[in-house]
Amino acid sequence: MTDALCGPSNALQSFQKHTSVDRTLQQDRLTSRQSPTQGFRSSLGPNVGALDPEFDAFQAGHAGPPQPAFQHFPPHLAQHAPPPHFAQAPAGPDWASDFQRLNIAPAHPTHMQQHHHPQASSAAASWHQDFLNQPSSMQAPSYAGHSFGGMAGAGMGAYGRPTYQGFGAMNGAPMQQVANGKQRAEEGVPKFDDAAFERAFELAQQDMFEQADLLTALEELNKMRLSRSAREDLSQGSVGETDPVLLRIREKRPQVYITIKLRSEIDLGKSAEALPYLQDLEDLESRGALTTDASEAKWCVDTLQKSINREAPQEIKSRVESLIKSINERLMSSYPLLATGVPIRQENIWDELRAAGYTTDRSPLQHADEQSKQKEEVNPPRTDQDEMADTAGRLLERVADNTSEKFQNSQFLELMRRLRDREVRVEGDKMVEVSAQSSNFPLPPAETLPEIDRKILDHAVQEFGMPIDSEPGLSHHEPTTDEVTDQFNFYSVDSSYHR
Amino acid sequence: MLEYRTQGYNGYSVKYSPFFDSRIAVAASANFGLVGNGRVYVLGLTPGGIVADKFFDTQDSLFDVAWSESHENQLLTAGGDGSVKLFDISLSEFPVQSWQEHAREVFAVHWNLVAKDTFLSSSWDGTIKIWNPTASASLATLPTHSCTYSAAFSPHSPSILSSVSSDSHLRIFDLRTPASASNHLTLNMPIHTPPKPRMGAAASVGVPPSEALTHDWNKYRDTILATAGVDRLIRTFDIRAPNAGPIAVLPGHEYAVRRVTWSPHLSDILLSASYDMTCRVWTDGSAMGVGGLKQENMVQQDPMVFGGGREMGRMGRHTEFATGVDWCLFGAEGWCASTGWDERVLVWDCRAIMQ
Repeated sequence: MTDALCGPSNALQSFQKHTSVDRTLQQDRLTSRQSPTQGFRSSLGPNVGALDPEFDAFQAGHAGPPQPAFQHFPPHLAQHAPPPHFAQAPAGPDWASDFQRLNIAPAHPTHMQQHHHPQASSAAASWHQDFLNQPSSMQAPSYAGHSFGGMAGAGMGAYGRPTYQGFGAMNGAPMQQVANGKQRAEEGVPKFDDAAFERAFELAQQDMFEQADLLTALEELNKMRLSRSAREDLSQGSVGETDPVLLRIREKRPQVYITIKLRSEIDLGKSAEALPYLQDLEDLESRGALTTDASEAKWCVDTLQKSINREAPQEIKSRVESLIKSINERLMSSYPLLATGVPIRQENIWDELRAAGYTTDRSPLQHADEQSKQKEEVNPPRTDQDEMADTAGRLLERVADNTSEKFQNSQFLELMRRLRDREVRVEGDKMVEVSAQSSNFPLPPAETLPEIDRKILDHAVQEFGMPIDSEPGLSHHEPTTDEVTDQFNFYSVDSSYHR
Repeated sequence: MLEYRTQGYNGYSVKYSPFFDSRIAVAASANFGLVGNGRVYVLGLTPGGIVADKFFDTQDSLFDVAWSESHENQLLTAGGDGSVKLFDISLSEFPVQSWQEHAREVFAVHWNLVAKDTFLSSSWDGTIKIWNPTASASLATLPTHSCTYSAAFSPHSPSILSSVSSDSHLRIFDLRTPASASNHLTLNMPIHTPPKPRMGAAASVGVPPSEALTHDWNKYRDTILATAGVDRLIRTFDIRAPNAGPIAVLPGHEYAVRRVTWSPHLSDILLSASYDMTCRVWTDGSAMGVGGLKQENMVQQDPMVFGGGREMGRMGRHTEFATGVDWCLFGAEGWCASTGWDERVLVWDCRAIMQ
């Protein structure tokens, strides 16, 4: 609990804390708005223009606009509508086609938008029947240009049953005026609400930053301290990932983590979610970070290859393929065929993945390399370094406008500069020059990225395993993973059935 | 001005001995306290300058130091690993006692000035702990639920203590109250309460809360405390009027204020150390004839300038953040010591810089 309050030694969390100081203004702003329970019409006001195209799309049978709009019918209408039908209306397309099949044209052709295709209504749900059976007593034409589009018009027309004569009488122009009037009134308010508030808000925020500014950052710096406990906290502070085992993998092997996520997104068909991970991997690769550990790199290549062997959008497929190619190029360039001491520690990855529940079986390598495992743990989590660098950078930004000689000559700020530029890093209890980077491997330090021979692949067989895999057969062994077998290939988790 | 260089260690706190006018303790940390070892120096003031009589190394950074009030050779340190250590400077190397109860960095230690058998520590783990040097475990734990940067016993009562923390609150605990659900907490004052509106100044609008880093009890007026922190303002409060807001607000520091301490000689004089690399001397305006500067131009008054206090001088010799400052209890009023991240300890007379 106090960790959340006190912030951790890694400063990003503190930054979140500081940026969230401003809640009050935010809330003022929200509460000063119309209460959402006023519903449909009021919330529609400023957005009419934006909603129209959506509604058109909806009518054309694409994924519909959010259904909740219906729940917000004015109360006098809502009580006659059978809400359950709406509430349970399945995903857009079905709903939309129902709507299209709905035929109210004969009675009031003017209700219909032009692209409504009158069809037989036999298949419509029961409320549609009711709806059609209503004696239509409404004056339709006035709805043609109604800002709510055909939908609202249709709804109102349908419920104009005899008991609502009074309502019907005021239904035409007056109603519209009411609506428009309200809309106008609201347009007045939002103008204040949005633009003015936006400005006021920015002003206030600026003030606040100027006031609380710099030395919040400097104080945060204190918190950058990496005490032992803090390092343990680190993983818990990360957002969006709750599986502790995955968290550990992320901490120790970011690229493996990203690859796992990428693969699972691709497998789930969520290419939009997959793209950021792909981007991350490409960044890592271009920095040469992906290939610092050959076994991890190989694991990534294998996994990537598997993931695009299955269904994947063309764009992702080609990007992944070029990524695989560049990883291989870099791998082969940095670990030439006859080099000694290429660390192969794939079994550790499998151990961790199995612990994470990602595999049920594992490759039959049994002699765990204890020593290298220990070394692995000595390796500080890379995210630490990143966050230190981020914080240092932010701190420098905040004192950037201080041109006094003292601040220019400050050794502490110089250290921050070097931390930001990753010329120094924290290792264990020391600050070390990156050039003296701890290599746990008997390989030259990766301070400068090794040259990549772009043609190296031409010399090699196109079926890459590891160029120097000391365990032949390993690369062909595929443990059972979360793979979707062929029999479920037709099965899309995005189908409306699963909604 | 005397100077000592704590080579390789960046100072965090400095304290004059309550027994000797020539002895100073300094808590310092390698790598600006981010990672690495700590070292506590015991410095002697000699005619030939400052010499290190002794130093002790610790595994983790040190953030604060406090002299024992009951034993002239003992001092406490606050460690980044959550430990509180008691060193005896007549021994070599190891602490005579070490308590490891805090879960996070300990940021303050303070000895009880009245009942000299207890001391306290406060930590980022959101607790204040009360200790007896002869007991192996803490006597009491007072939760603040917030990163507690500073805690201190009242110099006027054996059982009253105070703390400030990152939630922008000043808390007063009275150990005589039953340890009920409130855990001895008797007062919880928001530091960011705006000062009372008054004639000639616009009412100050809401002041955002900000982390409070330091505070101190006035040595003469037993209900007055000064606080300071990230919002760069030094404020004084009267705990008899907890809802009245600050009785003085002293703006001037350009960055966060890391340490504030009242003079042991004069009831209205404060000394502060800040991230703007300066140490400044202030009056809070409570003494006769020192205020009044602000009366000339009533219309343009800044609502956050309050109470008639003002800056009386500044010392800008530190070249990195100034983090620690303390008054000498003996001799002529005005002697003080300061330390900072420039690895320097300066001993100086603040009368020389006062206007």
